[in-house]
Amino acid sequence: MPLFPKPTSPAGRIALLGLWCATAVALSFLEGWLPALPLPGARLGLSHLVTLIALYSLGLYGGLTVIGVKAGFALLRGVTAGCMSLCGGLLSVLTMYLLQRLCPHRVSLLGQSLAGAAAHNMGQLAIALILLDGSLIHYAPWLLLFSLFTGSVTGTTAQQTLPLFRRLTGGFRL
Amino acid sequence: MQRLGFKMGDGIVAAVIVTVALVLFAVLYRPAAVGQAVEVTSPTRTTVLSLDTNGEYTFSGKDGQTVTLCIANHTAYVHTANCPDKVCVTTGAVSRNGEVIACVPAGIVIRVLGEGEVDAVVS
Repeated sequence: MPLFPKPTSPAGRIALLGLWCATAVALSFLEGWLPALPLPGARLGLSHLVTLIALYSLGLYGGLTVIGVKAGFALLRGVTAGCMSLCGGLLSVLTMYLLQRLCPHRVSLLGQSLAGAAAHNMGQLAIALILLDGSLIHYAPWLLLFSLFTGSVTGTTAQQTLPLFRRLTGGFRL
Repeated sequence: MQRLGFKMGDGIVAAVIVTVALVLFAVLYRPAAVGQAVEVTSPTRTTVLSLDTNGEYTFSGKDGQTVTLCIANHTAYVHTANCPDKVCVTTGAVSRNGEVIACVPAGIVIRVLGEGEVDAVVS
């Protein structure tokens, strides 16, 4: 049994895609209300779990659309923020997708989320190195260790919420 | 439900992230090499002292301020200074390339030199 049954109709796919994009944007907005994390610039990345769920329910294009919409909204905060969001998101989605395709039975949502969080941070850092300052490279190991924490939080949250989302959308009969 | 719960691969992913982070820590935060000499710049002259020779040297800076530098066990530290704030004394010992002790009231800067930077060691 698939973890999340894919919608069968085009209308169902579009509805679900809209739902995921809206949830991702809402979550990144709500996250701004949380108290700041100890590492400057680091965020929990709650919308990350929506990307993960989109990857399961709609495939690669679902995940890519969600990060595209998120980057579009990040662009409102500035070009640097938009580029960082896009690059981090792309790396993260591709990493999670590859992990999902290459070792489907050995890695759970948790491991996928960990890898995605680390890839996201490294993608963002790469843009920061290019656009801001090369000495930010010293930030890399701290960000990686921090992604273990954020990846675990989003991974376990995804494991808890995915069945709920499945029940919810199952009720819609997409 | 194959994707729920903890899997072996999750541990491997976490281990890979930790390993990469540790390697990056080792590469990026490697301490500088041990220095060869200290360069003391006072308002009147610049002196280079080898860290291999133990000794005590007094330098006079501006406004009648004096700074006493000690070299012992391949490290250098300011032993006494007659300035009011004693920042140079509390800086402690320096021994690695590029480390600096600055005594601003006296206008004296003590900097550790690496292998390639030492031209003539005056002792």
